[in-house]
Amino acid sequence: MSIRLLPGGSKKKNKKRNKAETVFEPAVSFKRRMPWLLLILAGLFSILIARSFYLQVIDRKHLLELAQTQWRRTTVLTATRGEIVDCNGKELAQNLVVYRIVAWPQSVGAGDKERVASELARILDVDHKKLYEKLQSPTVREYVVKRQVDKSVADEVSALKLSGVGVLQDTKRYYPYGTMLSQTIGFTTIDGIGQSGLELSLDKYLTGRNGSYITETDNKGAILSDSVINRIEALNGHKLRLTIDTFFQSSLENALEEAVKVNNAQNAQGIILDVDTGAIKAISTKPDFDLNSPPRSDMEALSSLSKNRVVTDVYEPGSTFKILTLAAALDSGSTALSSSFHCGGGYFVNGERIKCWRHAGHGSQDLTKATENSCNVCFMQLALGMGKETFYDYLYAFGLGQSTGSGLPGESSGIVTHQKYIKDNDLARIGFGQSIAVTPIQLASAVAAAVNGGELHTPYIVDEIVASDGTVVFKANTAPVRRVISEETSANVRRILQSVVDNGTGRNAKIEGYAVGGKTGTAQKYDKYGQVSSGSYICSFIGFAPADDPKYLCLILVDEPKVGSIFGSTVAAPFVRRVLSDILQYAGIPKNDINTSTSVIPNVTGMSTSEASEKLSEHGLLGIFECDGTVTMQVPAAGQSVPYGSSVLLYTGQEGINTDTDEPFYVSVPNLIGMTPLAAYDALKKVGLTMDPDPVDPFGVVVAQGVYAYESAPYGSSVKVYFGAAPTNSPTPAAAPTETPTPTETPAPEDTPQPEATPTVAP
Amino acid sequence: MEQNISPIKFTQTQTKRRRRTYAAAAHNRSIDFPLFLAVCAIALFGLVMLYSATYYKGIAERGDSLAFVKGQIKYVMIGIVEMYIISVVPYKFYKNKLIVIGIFAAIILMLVATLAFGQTYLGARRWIQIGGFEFQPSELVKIGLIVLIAAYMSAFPDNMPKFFKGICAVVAIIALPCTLIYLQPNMSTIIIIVAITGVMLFMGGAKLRYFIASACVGVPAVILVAKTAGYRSDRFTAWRDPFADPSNLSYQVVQSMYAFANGGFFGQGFNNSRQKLLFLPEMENDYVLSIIAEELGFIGVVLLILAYCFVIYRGIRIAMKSEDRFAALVAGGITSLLAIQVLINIGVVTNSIPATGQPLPFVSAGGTSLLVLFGAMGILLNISRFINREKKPLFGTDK
Repeated sequence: MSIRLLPGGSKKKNKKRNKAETVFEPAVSFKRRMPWLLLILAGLFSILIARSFYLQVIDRKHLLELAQTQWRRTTVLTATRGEIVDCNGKELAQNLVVYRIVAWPQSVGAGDKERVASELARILDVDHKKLYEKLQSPTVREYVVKRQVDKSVADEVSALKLSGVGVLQDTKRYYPYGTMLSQTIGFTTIDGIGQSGLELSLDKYLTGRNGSYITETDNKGAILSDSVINRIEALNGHKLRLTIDTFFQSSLENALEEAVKVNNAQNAQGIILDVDTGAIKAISTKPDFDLNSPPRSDMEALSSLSKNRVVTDVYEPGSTFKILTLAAALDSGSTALSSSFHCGGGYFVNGERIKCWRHAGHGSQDLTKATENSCNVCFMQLALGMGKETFYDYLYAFGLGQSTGSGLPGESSGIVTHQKYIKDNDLARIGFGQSIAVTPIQLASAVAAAVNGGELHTPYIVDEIVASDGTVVFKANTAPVRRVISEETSANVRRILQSVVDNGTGRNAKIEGYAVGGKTGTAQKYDKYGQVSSGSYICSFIGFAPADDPKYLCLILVDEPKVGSIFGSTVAAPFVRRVLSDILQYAGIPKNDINTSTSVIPNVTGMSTSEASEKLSEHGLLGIFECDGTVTMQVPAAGQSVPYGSSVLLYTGQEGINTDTDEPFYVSVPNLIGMTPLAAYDALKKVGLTMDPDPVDPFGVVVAQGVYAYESAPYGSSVKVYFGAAPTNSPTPAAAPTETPTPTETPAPEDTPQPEATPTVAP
Repeated sequence: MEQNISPIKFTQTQTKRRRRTYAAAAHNRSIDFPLFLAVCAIALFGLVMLYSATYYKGIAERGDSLAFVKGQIKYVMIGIVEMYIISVVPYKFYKNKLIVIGIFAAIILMLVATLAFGQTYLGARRWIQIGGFEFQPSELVKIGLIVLIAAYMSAFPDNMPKFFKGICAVVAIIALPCTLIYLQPNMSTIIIIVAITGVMLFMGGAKLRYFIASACVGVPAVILVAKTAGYRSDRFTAWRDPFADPSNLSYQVVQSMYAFANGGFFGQGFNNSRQKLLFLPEMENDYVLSIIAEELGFIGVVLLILAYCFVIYRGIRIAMKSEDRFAALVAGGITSLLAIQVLINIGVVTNSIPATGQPLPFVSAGGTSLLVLFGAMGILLNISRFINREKKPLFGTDK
């Protein structure tokens, strides 16, 4: 067969076309194979269609879930934390706008990461290496570079226009008054979660609920217009309106701060109540801390500083408690205003002689006089006269033994021993405020009931909780809980307490132009073993005004004052006086007609005590001081108007340690060697000294003493006493702690261990 | 070449030439009109979808929603005209001995020039700049080799069942061009050339046992090369487990799969793609089908595949009805080329095969690919003018 190679395109050959075509006809195999080719192609296309169906229909859900994460970005709408305001709407806790610097590593250009990292590290003072690593990471979608950045810093970052770096708004909790109400308000974490105080206990009201929205973005993070999906608005937190008045609060806090300072005390606590409603107008414990920078690094100190001791700590109230005994005795009818009491310096109950603080006794006195004198014997008789059941009914009616329900976090219920276990001598002690423990707020609330006409109110601090739309979510209930004593009894109690301030131990609380009622109190503290702690006292004063129609009540406690004269009348009363004076004027309560002449206190600091006394007496005032020396501080301060004849406390800064004092202030130290801890304690106590045992948990017998026997030591000072194992020949077991007497067995229980009247007796 | 040719002008010249040169009977016959329409329809549909796919990218990167479409519109218009013009040039022209030699010389020249003066992009030297036009010679080489192989096969039909004079001779034709392309490198083009050569050997009558034998050697060899060598082994891993490294190695294919998934059965609707918001790179190019799948859904994908299948069916029909061996082989080769390119593209974007760069014919942006394919369709259309028009069944003629 001749095969023609590549036929040309000439006319001649084209004419032979029909012949040529037979030669070049496609092979038979071609026609046979083409359908197979079609079939193979059809098969391949079918596979691809199946594959497409798998991706688009069968595996769709799974793939879409993965895809969603790259298409969408969830943005949180931060709920604003509720504000806390005082009764006048002044902000105690508010929110500041700050900024949060965020980086989206995927949106930072690959070649730009180093620059972005170093710029941000420079401006924000963050670790460059860590930031750079985050920016490099393929998995991190969002990284918070720094939080709570000020506007100026945020502006600096924005100005750089770094791609993939965002400046978002953030909020920061801010307390405009800093330290004010620090234990009560409490603080939050950086994320705005309450950690203490009301911020913690009412967190669910304050927090609100964050909202969010989802936006669709392109691959560079640009938000697509009109792409907001599922927007949930943030629900802002509720506003707390407290009963606190910042004026009352700052007045109280200033007084407490000074009380801690001048008395060199461990702490001071105070509360002001509105006696008609139970509203807490001010509450504080000093020392405190700045809410804007709580000392988070020292957890122990912080937890101690954030303790709202006015509600958490219990103490033996001492004489201030006599108000309740008085009210109960008068209301029960077991005693009358005209009743007469005789004090011989002590009183036998169940065969035990319980001493009055004045060992010489107060002689014969009526009820008013006995209260003015704070006579223990009288109040023992009142308690015993009522009997256990009646007295206990009143104690419970006054709200003792249970928490007041103020809603302040961590409130204690106090300790009221069940009457089953109470003997007559215990009952007698309760009469003057021992063998019973209360919280300051319990006492304040009970006394408020005794003087306000007889009705007990629940003390409260949250006046109302208002939602962001204005709805009132919670409103405090100011209705009285119960009537405790009759109005008439209450009026009598007020009158007697006013007399205490006018003529008795409460003299230092007297305010010119206002009728003030009140009662002093000094109580010994118990150490952690339940022993009476030597030399540690809590001095308190509870005062209310105006005495004839009380409006406000103020209780101040000074814990462990370290000055020579440790009495409620000198340590606490002047501060209550100052606070009441401030708030009465602030509240616009009119002064009485002043027929008593007043005098302005001159400045006597820097003078010697004798010069100062002379200068004060020129102004018709009485200077009171414990030790001679140079006056370093005076209470009340110079420039204040006080009634003619008032006393001014002069501090010389040498109280208790002054070796130049007169003979009466020195005592002879007894020989303690070989004594048991209890005996040594008693021996020192007898002469007016306190014991500083070493080890603190004493055992065995005294082996040495810090001051030798028969040497003199300042009255009221403490003597170091060293204990050790008992000599072998001594059969005394060295189990001192087991011999520790219970508080009620303390041999010499006294309300005011030192003569309360000495410095303050009216001339 | 585009500036001085218009259809009207051409018909005038054609009428003069008709009587003088080729058989008038042939020229009176018309082209395969359904094929012509189908190709135009796919190209116009492609324009619309390309516009949608690149709308966001155009604005984001060039500030113009039409940035990626403008050039494509031009090429499609030129391409349709070009297709028609080439459909008028009788295919016998390519059978000319001198022309065949010229084609081979041109292939070698172009590939050498590409290696010598070509533009390097992403480590490969594949483009040469002619005027302002970037041209990828390897696209044209594919068509040239189809013509060369067809010419050899039709000239020596008896050699085809033989091993040396058949298969080896054909392999020898593609050896040098493939070597030059390998130097670029451009593996996907080599794969397509090898595949086309195989299909043409099959159509040309090579013995099936040679196919089976070469498949037994070739497939393991390809897998071995793919698994061992550099970026190709990465692609192999990315194909088998795309979610092992979705943000890097298999980023494109994972994004493509997301697009398919988002499309679902009915699609998100025209212009509603999410993946075109810069998530899917190369959305104007190899991955344009992903956006079509997202916007028009499974239905859209199936319809487009059916359109390609229709074109392929018409091409094979032309090959089968062709009475000239050369024409039949050229028509079969061109149709196979189209089919292979569509298969590879869809295979890649659906992660059915390892990733390789292959545009979707008539849809993906790119001038060279479009003009070469329209030209190839022109040749096919010209062959369709000469087919046997007797009404007889396409299959089962050889009883």
